[in-house]
Amino acid sequence: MTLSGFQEMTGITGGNAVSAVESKACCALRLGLVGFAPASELQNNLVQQRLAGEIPDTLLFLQHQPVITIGAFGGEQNIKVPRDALEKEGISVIHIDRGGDVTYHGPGQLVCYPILDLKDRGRDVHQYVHDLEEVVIRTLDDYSIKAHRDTDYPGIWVGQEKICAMGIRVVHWITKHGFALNINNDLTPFSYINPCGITGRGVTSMRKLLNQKLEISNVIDSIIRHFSAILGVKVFEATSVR
Amino acid sequence: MATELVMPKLGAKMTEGMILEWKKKEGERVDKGESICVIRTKKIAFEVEAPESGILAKIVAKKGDTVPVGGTLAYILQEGEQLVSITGSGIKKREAKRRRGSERPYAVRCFPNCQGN
Repeated sequence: MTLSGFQEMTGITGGNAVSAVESKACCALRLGLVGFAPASELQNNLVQQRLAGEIPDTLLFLQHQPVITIGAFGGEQNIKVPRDALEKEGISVIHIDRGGDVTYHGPGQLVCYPILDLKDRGRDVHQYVHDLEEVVIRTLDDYSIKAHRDTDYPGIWVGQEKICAMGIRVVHWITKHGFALNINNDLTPFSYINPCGITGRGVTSMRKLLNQKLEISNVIDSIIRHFSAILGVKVFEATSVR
Repeated sequence: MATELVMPKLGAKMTEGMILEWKKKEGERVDKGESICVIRTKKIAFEVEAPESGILAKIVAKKGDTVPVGGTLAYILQEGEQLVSITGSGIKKREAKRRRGSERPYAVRCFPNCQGN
């Protein structure tokens, strides 16, 4: 990563920027509600910049407008309702290149896209997924939600219900896509699909489990804290976004 | 000399991966470092890079095949080289699962100046 790239991206200057670059810091960006297409374009741009060493490892936090995405492992057969019915509800359908099958994103669900260089992390993609899962499990534990992995099914589960979907792509050892954690979002659209191609299991959200609406920024704080501890990086919040 | 493209080991615990997609066709030129195919392991789609520049001469593992770590995915030849003979009857999903990484599905000889495998 270059100092100027880090400064330009984060708005952090002076000694703090130098120490951030030297300690292989990670930069967190809170983007709010972003359409799926612009978010994909942003990710692709950041992957190229990360590859070129122009920017540090980066965490994107955002929410999407309602969209059903079909990952590289998935197929249309896991969408259970006709397209026009989805369109009527304002839900678009997009094929994308992440790992995984079909999932839904919408407002109130927190999406996290880490753009990390795994060449700096022992080139172990399984360890990376395990670490991300651990971040989510510990974040939920902060809210007294006991969540777990499932050896047969991807994602993070509370009992038999999925609370967090994961799907990742690695390009030249740079990661993109990531996880989607159900916080306050309406879960109804999940009934239009077989989430991740799995049938016979449900989905849940933090709101549903805790019976209250949550402050998403607090959940992001928690994720950043655990991400920092588990992946062993200092995380800087960007003060400006290009 | 022929370069073998093998199923990469992407983590200490990885034993096999599945071919999701070939981004290049047989006969196409590939550049070193270019994404040549996509494999699936757990929740990850991973783009495999060409280890050398050359011609993607033979795809051994087809889309949907599961191949053990170290198993052959394809052969890349230098320009001017030719595959003289290929032995082996093609990969099968179950065979691929059983086959050990050190064994090779094809014996490849090429001309000129190429070592057999």
